[in-house]
Amino acid sequence: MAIVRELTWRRWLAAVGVSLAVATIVLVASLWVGTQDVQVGRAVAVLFGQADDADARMAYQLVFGLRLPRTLLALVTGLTLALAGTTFQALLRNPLAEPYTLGVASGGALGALLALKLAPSLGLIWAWAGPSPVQIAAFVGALIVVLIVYGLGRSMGMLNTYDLLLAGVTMALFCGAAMLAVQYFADYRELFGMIRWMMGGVETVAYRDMVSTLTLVVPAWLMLLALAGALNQLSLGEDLAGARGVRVGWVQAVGFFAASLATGAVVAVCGPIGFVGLIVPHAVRAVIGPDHRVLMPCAALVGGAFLVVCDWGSRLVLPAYGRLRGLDLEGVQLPIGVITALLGGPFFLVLLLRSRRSERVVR
Amino acid sequence: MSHDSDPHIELRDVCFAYAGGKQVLDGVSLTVPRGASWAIVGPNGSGKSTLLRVMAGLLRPVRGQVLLDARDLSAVRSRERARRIAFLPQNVAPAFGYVARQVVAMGRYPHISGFGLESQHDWHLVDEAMAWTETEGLSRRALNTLSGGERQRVLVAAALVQASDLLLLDEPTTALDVNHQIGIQRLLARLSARRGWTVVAVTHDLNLAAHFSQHVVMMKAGRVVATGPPAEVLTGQRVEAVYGVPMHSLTHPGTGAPVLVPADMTPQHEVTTDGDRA
Repeated sequence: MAIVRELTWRRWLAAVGVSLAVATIVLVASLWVGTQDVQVGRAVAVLFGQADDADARMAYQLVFGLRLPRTLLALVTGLTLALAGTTFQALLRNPLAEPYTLGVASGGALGALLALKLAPSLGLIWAWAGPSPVQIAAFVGALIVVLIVYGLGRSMGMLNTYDLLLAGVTMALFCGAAMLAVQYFADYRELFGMIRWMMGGVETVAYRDMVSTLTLVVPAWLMLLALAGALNQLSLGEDLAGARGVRVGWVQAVGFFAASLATGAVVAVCGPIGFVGLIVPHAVRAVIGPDHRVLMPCAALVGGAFLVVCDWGSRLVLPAYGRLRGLDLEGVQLPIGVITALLGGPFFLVLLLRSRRSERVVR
Repeated sequence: MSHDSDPHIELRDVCFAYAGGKQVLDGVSLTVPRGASWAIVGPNGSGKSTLLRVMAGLLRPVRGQVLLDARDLSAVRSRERARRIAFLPQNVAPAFGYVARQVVAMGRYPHISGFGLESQHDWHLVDEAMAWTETEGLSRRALNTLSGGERQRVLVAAALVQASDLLLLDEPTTALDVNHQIGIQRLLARLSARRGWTVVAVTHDLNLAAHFSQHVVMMKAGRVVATGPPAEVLTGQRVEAVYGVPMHSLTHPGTGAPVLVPADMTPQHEVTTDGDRA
């Protein structure tokens, strides 16, 4: 255990440096990961104009047209979800809070689905370079759910784990039902787009999605990282934070806004991907401790790396299974959300049991 | 000790009501001199915690003024206020496993700019405060694994590195066993006597207030009903009138200070008062 008890710039650089190295290694390694054997060197040669034969251009297409963009999107998505999870946990003072368990991701998904259904009929066509209407709708959906969950918690006086999770699950169920209703009223053409989107994943991405996502998530990241010191204070309670000079209402408003914005932006592109914001902050906190000034950048980078590795699973698991059983499953992909949920579900249950024990001790 | 010698924090006709609620504070005026050690007592719902939060600048009075060193507190920026007033709420329980030394260092927050980290100087102050509160041995323990008394000591250390000379505490000893109650009260008395801090604590324990405070403010229904030295304020008659419980006034055999005990402590008793004090 290398818990950072006394944070110095040297330690900060060491922790963030290691996280950055992990993310970079995973990112680069990702160019080699896939069911097809690709000579990455040839692809790079094409990039620099050193090769132009058909084989090399095929490799270039695979590496820079398919693997790199999906890897980058997985990185950005994991980074965003981990950062949003860490923020929600601090704002709600609850280590089980994250976009998925709070229903925020579902709110974003409902918003996105409504946009997919309504935007074409309203003549809203995504003609600008910035965020797509789907992303904006997802952000609005996510923000509404955050405000409802937070407001419910506030009105009940204290945000205890069970009320919070109950509110989150309720919102997720409600949004799920509303999404079914939207699909019911969709025609075949719309339905195809919706289902394809709901399967989630990072494989259907164009560089344009990447750019529009970055215009939303980068400002959100910066806002969230700027809150790190104040989030430490809020972890001790609103009164103590207020007495230490934290403008509590402002920090909560910026935190909820930015975390919803970021969540909405990535949910709109990848579909709902659960539990990244839970597993990653928890694991990183266990290693370096809860100081948000170093936890947030590290959790973000590790979150990015984590989702890229999950994406490897998404690319490799079914083809490997197919080869084992003699089935033709080459190129068949397991949605990335399925992988994170399979990992995150049991993890969440263990945390819930542990939090219940510790709450019993405190009382 | 004269009250007007060097006023540290002063309330002038302060009224407060929560949004849409009834009046919680109703024209409270107090002048706490620098270096004094005060206790605020009163039945549940008398407004004493609210009063403390108004003094801490966490709540803004609906009417009236709070003056910190003769300056209107509402005109003091939150960061500067935090460097001058430390406030310790009830039941501080961190959500994550911050260790004691981190918690103390977090008291430096209003002194650290922007994205900054603690400097050597900050860590020096942290170590000093932990030595002073005798919490060095706890420095690597997570706050949520400490006992109530240890936790309060750590939080007092955090207040020491945060503010210059004014500490407000909301029921600092309520959840503690008698040994730790005395320990924390001695620590606060030492803070006032040796370091010259002004200490104002809300408490339910009239006998602790009688022994460890120079001055007691008694509140009822949002008003100050008595203020003065403990022996003058904490009389059996007054406590009876304010709490609605008949009291016996005894004298502590060691200190000679007043000790109040409920007159009727037989197990079978029909409830005849509307006081909520058990």
